[in-house]
Amino acid sequence: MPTIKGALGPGFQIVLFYLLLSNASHANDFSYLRERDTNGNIWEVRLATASPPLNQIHSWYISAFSSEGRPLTGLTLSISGGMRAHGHGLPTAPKVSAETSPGIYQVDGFKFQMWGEWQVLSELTDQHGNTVGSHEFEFVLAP
Amino acid sequence: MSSSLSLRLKLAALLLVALATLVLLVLGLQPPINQARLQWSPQERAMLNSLRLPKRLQPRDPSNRFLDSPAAAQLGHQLFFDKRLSGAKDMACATCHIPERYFSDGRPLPIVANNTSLSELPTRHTPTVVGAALHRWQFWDGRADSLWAQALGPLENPLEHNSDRLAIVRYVLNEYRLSYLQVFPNSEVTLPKLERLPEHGSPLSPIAEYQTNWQQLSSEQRSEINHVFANIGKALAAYQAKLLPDDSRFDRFVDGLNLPTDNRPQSYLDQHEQAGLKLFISEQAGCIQCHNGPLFSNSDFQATLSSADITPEREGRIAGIALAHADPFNCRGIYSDAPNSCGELDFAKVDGIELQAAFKVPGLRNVAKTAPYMHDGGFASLSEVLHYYNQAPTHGFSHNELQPLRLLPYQLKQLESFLVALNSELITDAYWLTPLLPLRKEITHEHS
Ligand code: HEC
Ligand code: HEC
Repeated sequence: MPTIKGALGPGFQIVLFYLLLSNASHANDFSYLRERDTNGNIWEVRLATASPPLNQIHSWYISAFSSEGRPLTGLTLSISGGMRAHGHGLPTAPKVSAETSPGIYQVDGFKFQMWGEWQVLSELTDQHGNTVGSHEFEFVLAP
Repeated sequence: MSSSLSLRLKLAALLLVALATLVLLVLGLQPPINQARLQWSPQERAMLNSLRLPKRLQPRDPSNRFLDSPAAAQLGHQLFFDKRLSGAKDMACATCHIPERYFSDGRPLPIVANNTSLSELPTRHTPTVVGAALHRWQFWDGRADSLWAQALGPLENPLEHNSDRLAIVRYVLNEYRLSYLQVFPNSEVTLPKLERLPEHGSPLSPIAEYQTNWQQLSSEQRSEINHVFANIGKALAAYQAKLLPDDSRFDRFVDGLNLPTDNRPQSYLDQHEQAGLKLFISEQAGCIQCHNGPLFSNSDFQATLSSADITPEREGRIAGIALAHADPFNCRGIYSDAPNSCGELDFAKVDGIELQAAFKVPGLRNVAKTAPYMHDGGFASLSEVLHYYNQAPTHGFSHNELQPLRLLPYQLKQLESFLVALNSELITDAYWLTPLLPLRKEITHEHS
């Protein structure tokens, strides 16, 4: 199970629970994916395609809702990630282009240039810079 | 007694044979006996399919709406082979991108324009332009975000064509007027009034006078000239978009594997080549990490540090992306046909250690035809390249994406034989591979 260290300050760790996805680390198809973080927030990722395309710029739709189903809206979403096993980050700098509806953020500019295991970290912060929610999505890009 | 002695002798002999086999193995003279047909797992088959050339290669570039225009390709064809486009009339694109050499030059570093005033020498090896239209970035450091923006570089590069913008635009509008107007109708942008302009001028020229000439033009004049200049690049791009590789034995092998009865693939790749292919896509060799997709390139930039002669903080992608952003002929600029769909430029990383000394991953189709290798032409042969991957020294820089492979010599040979099996013809009609016949040129002249 993936853990995030350091992303949210010293000592803070979040363990992710996979809800609907049986084996996320082998997932090839995540056109619709739902996961919960330890704070109970529910994260969803949607793509236009079944799995991310190799070597092509594309968008992700990331939505975040509280455990009660309230959209985590009006926040700043920042994206990082990479391939931990290879020690490198994302080849691009994805950016949020819009909150298409409350709690649903369109993130453009994703690109994955290698097959293998990727991590994508999404972090929501409020106007004071406090982390409201954070989620690491791990998947294997395979042909 | 004597029987135990003979037993001991036998044992010793056996040991010797075993030892000799081991030595042979380690020396890599012999692969382990492996006559059985290689098996391919579903994952491996999926990987092979991802490397297969698509049935129809379709270069795309929204920023150049003339990319598919046959008339633009015709004009580009003529320009590509035309030495008079250069400052000293001695250099055409085809001087370095030589059709018979798979559009590369066979030299570690390219020849230099006769009239160059620079004392510095080229530092970058000439890559092929076959398949370049399928790459998203051009040059080893990706300082051009399109094929048409790329073409404008050599024309004004003091080491290459060594001409200047005004001279080039004047030459094309005089010599190729008819073809030019056929491709780029005059209705949209007014052509520069050449008779009122100085002979030479460019914002990039090392010659001060040419720079001054350029500065003295009105912004309207400059933009008119730039439009024609950009169009020249777009025509050259349309021509190069025709230069694409055809199926190799590897592709036929993959097709064979996909058939329900796979007897045929064996005839396309022998056991040795198949073993090389297996290595290529294996976790162990890891080539597939960067050399993926149908071109065997992820079109991205990776640091493999084969050259010790660079300054990582200032060279490679870290420099290229800054130049691409600053280029008035980039996808976002006013000469682009799609300034609002520039994802690659907009989202490219602009800093970070990963960009230092990172160079474009070259495609590997027909790589056996384009020695020497790497951005600096530093390796004379494929076996030198593979030897490097096997050792992968770090030169003391912090970021090298390679780990020494420690493959055995016979495995390196297998890899090499697989790379050679990527050789193919071009899909391009032979018509495009030689300069147009003089007759055709005369016709163009009559009309101009
Ligand atoms: C003097 C030799 C020379 C001439 C003339 C020349 N090139 Fe090149 N070409 C090179 C070299 C060297 C590079 C790599 C430069 C670099 O990356 O910094 C290159 C790179 C390229 C690339 C990028 C390929 C890739 O995969 O990144 C293209 C496309 C290209 N040239 C097309 C042209 C065109 C079109 C012309 C004519 C307008 C031309 N070249 C003239 C030597 C030459
Ligand atoms: C980390 C990414 C990466 C991996 C892994 C990798 N390569 Fe490369 N390869 C590159 C880059 C980048 C270059 C160009 C480097 C330069 O010019 O300095 C290159 C260049 C080459 C070239 C020279 C091509 C030319 O036209 O100059 C060959 C051949 C090659 N690689 C084969 C392989 C093989 C075989 C493997 C596996 C053993 C492999 N590569 C693994 C990134 C990679």
